[in-house]
Amino acid sequence: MKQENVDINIGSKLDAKGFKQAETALNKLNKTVKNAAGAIGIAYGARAITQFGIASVKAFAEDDKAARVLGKTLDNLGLGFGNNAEAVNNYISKLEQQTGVLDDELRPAMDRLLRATGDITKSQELLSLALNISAGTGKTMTQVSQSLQKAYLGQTQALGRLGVGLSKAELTSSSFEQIQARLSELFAGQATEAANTYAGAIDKLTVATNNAKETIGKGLVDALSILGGGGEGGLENIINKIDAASNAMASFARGTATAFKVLDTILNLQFTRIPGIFAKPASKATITPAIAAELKKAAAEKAQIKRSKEQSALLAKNTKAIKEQTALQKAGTLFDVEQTAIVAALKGKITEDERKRLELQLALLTGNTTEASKLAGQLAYSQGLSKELVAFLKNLPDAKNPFSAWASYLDAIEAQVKRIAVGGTTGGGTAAVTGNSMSNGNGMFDPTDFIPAMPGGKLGAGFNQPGTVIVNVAGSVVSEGELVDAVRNGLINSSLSGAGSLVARRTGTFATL
Amino acid sequence: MPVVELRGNIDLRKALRDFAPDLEKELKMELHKALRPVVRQAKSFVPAVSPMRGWAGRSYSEGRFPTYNAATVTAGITYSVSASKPNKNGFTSMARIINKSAIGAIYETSGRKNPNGQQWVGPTAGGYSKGVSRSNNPNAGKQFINNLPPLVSSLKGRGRLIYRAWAENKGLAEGVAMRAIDSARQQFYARSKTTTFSKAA
Repeated sequence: MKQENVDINIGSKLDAKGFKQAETALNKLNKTVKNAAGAIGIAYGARAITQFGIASVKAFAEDDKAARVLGKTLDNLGLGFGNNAEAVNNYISKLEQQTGVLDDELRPAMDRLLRATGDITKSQELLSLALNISAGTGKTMTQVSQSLQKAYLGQTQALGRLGVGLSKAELTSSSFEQIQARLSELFAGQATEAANTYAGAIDKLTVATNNAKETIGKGLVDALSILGGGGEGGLENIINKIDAASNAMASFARGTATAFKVLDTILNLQFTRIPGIFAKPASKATITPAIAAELKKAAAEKAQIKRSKEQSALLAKNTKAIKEQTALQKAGTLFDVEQTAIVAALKGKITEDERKRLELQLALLTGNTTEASKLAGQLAYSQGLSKELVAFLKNLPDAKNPFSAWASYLDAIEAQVKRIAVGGTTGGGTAAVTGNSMSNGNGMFDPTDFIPAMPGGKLGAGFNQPGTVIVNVAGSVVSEGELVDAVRNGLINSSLSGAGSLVARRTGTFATL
Repeated sequence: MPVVELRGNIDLRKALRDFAPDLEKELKMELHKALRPVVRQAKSFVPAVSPMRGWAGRSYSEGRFPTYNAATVTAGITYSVSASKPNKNGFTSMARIINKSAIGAIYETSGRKNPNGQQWVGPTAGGYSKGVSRSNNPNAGKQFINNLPPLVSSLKGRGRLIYRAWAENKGLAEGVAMRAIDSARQQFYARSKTTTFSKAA
């Protein structure tokens, strides 16, 4: 598991020294690989492909030339009948594959031997012998085949120089057949053995590569021929077309140069250089030297003024560019710092309103106008709601302590009780309750008597005003006993006057009779 | 006189050490001044007791998950004022605050990558064990993270100890440190123009 970073780095900086060393080493390695690739024939890029194509065509051309030469030799020797030429070519191809010796060497050798022997079979035998000797001695096929050719024709010195193990005496005293037989014994199986070694395998690989190259070359030549119309004259046609194209290009270049020359003439307003179109300008001979000097001076002054203006404009342009660049740099720095700070703040625990504000700032910094306007709207709405809520809360009564108002009520009650206990208030005005005690005609208190400013009230309008309230208690009924007596007497009197009353204790009913 | 060019932090520190040891000493002192308060504050955020009863240290535990130990966490929070070796991307630093204990790292970063804990696969599932939870409790990771204080964001990353201290420092330490580094660099360049350096003993 990858370990999380649990460190805070201060002053972090890229140390590119190691990278530069690595880059240098890599460049060296790349160069080495390229060289190695070039050495083993790996082609890189279009240039290499082109070179490979050229080499292929060249290989095919050489091979084709060697084959044609061999065919012509057979014809010249009177051996070109039937399928001899094809048989010889097939033999060479097979030999090439078996021994790893290129047909580029085998064909000239075969050609050489054919010219010496005039016999295909004999030439094939000698070619096989030459391959064995070449493999055994390390000499080239060309050297060996030339030596055998000369030996066949009677010159054995060259064969002796090959170091085949035959003395000069043996070579001079023996016939070619004897020498051939001896050499066949001495170098038997050398070519096959050599072909089976690693070196032989590489040679075979080279042969295969070369053949592939020749095949590709043939394909390219055929392709060119097809472009030229195909058939035997195809290549001729393409050559003619290339010639024509090169001539056309040359003509085009010449024409372009002429056109540029004419254009130059027109732009310089030297119309007179185009003959037959414009008349010659007035002769300068009419301008005196003084006038010419004045004109020259005026032209110089004009040029000076123009140069000054150009320099001023350039200076202003440069100053403006520097200012803009500085401003941009500053703005870029601010942007980076602010943006980083906002992004960091957005990651923290913040309220929705704060988040909206930060997102709006970020949108403004990044130039996202759509998002900015949207967020601004949301923020304004949110702010509006907040203000309304604040106003509403401000106007609400204080409901935090429901008993806070009790103190004033209790104070008021206490004051009333004190006032009642004292029996009046100081101040102006006197209100008196008149009439019988505890009765207002019917023997009971009338509550309206004590309501201030009630129409018909006993306290009258002056009750509201601060002052003294005097309650006079008068009459015969003062105590409870007196009240009971008064009620009893009243009942007796009523009974005696004929308006009796009946009280049923058990049922709790009362009735007047 | 050859032109002196210092490329990277290591070059600067080496040059200071070899040719201007007084500047090197001064720089180190300034860096100490800048980072010490942050480390002290970070240490103050380490809870004295385990945030979870089950995470507390015990006499024997067969589990490999380290148990909580406040002293270890506190001791692991430290700082360094020497230049670091290049990391895999080639970056070096002049100074750093480190939370180097395993428990401290767990406390610092739990929930930073997986806020609800790692993917639960259970104790019997086959396959790779790293990055997955093999607890019997499918919500073990989530519960563990929920029992820790919230992660605090700073400009250097999110965490509960050094990152929180860094966030609460509000860039003061970084400002002091950067000013000290710049000052040392400028003074070294200024000296290189006026004097010929010779390697200090």
